[in-house]
Amino acid sequence: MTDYFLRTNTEARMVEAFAAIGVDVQRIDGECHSLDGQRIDIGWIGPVTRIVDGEPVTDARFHANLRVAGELTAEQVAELPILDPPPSHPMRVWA
Amino acid sequence: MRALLGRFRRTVNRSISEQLATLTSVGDGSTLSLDFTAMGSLDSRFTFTRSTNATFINSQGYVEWANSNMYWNTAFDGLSGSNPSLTSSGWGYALSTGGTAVFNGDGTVTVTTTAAERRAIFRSSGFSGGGLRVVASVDVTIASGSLQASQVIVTGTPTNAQHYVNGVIWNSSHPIWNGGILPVGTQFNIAYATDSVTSGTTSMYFGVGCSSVIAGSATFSNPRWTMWKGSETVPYYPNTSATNNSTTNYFKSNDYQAPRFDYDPTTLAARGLLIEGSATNLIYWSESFDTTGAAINWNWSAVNVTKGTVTTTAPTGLSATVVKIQETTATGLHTPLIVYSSLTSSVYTVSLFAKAVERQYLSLFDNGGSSANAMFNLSGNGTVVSESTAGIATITPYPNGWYRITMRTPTMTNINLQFRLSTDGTTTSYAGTLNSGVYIWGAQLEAGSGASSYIPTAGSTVQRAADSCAILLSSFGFSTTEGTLYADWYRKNGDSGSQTGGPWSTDYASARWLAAQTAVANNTVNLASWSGSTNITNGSTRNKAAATYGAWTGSVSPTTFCVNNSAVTSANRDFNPSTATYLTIGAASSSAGSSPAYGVATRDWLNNSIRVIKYWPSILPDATLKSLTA
Repeated sequence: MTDYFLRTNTEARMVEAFAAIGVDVQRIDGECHSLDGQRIDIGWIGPVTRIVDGEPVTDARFHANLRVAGELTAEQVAELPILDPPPSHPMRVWA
Repeated sequence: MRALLGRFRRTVNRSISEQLATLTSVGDGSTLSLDFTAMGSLDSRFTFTRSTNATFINSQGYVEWANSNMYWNTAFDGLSGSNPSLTSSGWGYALSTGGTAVFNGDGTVTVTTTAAERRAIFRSSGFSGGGLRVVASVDVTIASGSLQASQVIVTGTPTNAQHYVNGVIWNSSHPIWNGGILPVGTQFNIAYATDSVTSGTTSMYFGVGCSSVIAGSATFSNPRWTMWKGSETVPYYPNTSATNNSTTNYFKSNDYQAPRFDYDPTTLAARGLLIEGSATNLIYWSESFDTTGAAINWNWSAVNVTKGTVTTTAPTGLSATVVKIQETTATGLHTPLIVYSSLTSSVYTVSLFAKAVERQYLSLFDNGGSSANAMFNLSGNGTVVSESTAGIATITPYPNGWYRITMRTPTMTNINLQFRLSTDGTTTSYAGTLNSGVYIWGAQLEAGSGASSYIPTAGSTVQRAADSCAILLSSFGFSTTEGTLYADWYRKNGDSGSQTGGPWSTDYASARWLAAQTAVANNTVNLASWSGSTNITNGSTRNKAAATYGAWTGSVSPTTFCVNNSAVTSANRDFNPSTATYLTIGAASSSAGSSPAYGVATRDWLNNSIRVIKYWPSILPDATLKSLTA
């Protein structure tokens, strides 16, 4: 399996990115699809909030996690807003 | 040990004749009869996937990770050529220099040993920690040279293992043990199995070895390596992931994740196959309750408590460092807290494992927007002493004095989550007694109504992926003209009337599907179809329902439906049995706007356990439906 951390400026752009690789997302928690015959799982996160000096600080950009049973193709990777390198302290990980 | 291997081999080699034997041996006319409370694994007709690990309650009532095949790249995926680099391949070379390992590009590898050399390939590093079980099986063909049988190696550590050749214990009594040089072309299967061990390192390796000058080569094919942790037997599933991207031995993200067969933590009764949708534990540091290192951390200093630790038996049944909420002597509330200020608007469920020490009363309290709260008595069978809204709290006894307590919140976007100690189940503001308190473990905050299986977290929130389980209708003699489906299952957790998870659903083919569903608010069990449903208000926490269908008329199929011995209801439903191809277990396969995909459930997860599913390729009479569901 391969994990990808995704980020866009808006939720709509994230949905468009998935559409570009042929995934018609439903925007439900923990949705999964079949992409090129392999299972993919999407974790919708949205904006993320951290407590800094006792105060919440929100990154309003839209975040999502993607887990692919195998790997994405180079073309699919090019279509998705993948954080490279991945975050050193991700907000959310897969179990 | 032999039984262990036998179960493994039956699963791997399940033949058409064996499947037909199953179909015809049920005795009551059914061609599918699955009692999940008596199963430790799914048979090979099922396609089961879950992209992450997940916990369940084992037969001792303990929280345990689901079994998984910890070996990866069991098919030598992506490897070709002579002595290729094995970096990130899941395999490594060892034992000596010289010789060759030629990956033939078709899932086989030919290993050659030359004079006085030994060569093998094996897992690149051992798994440490003990408690592991291994079954490794591979087919061997002598390719060249003058090898003796004893030079073909499939072995590993620990050494308390048993080896088999063609299913017969491999020792000096074996017919080919002293058979001399094996002719080129000789084929046999060699296998290795080890029972549970409590400590040490577990590795497995195979190849060709010689301690003399006899040389030769053997080709290994059809590798079936399975290693898992836990007491249940895991069938072999190919794991073609070519990389190990985990930092821990046990819970790699590329493991095969096995289905979960759940147990009641109080009675230890088997509950069947647990099917859950995805969930995310939003609580950081769910067991250590740390104060630094994550985006949002626990606060132990604000409200008259300190964080103690003790080594004791955790809800896993294992000795672990467990946190204790300890009172200071100050007067007032006594609680740790964690604050979330920008949650997605939703109903949430808080859950926590707690154990009485000096205090036996504890409340879950949202001191944020909702003020939802519930007080629990952590003794005896466990009691919900009070709750801010009736029906929002539950308490379940676990072994060793632990309880899992839960509380549902209203729709909200922020929470100030507190675990308030109490002296008597009512009083929460008082002068504390130094270090008096309770043990806590396994906190969870998840969207939705009802607590799901526990998801451990540390410095990140953690998401469990959904279970997907399906079976092709053609694998159990499904009739396209008439049939009866029966299920015995536990209703979806929670109390929202909109929840529709059920035990089975046909696929979305031509939008003419059929599904058994449950809605909690009014105890309704539905036989749902593409447009409309048959609703019977006779549901309960556990339900038995049977549905029959007849042939497609061009616009509908006639159906009957019976729930928990209710009156049988007849109706025409939008279900075309001639277009259906598979049955999804514990969820629905697809929905409008998305393409059906066998084995990938996309909606309406049961979030609970299924005890039994049966199928008859005939319409059972009403009286039988009633007796089945009684």
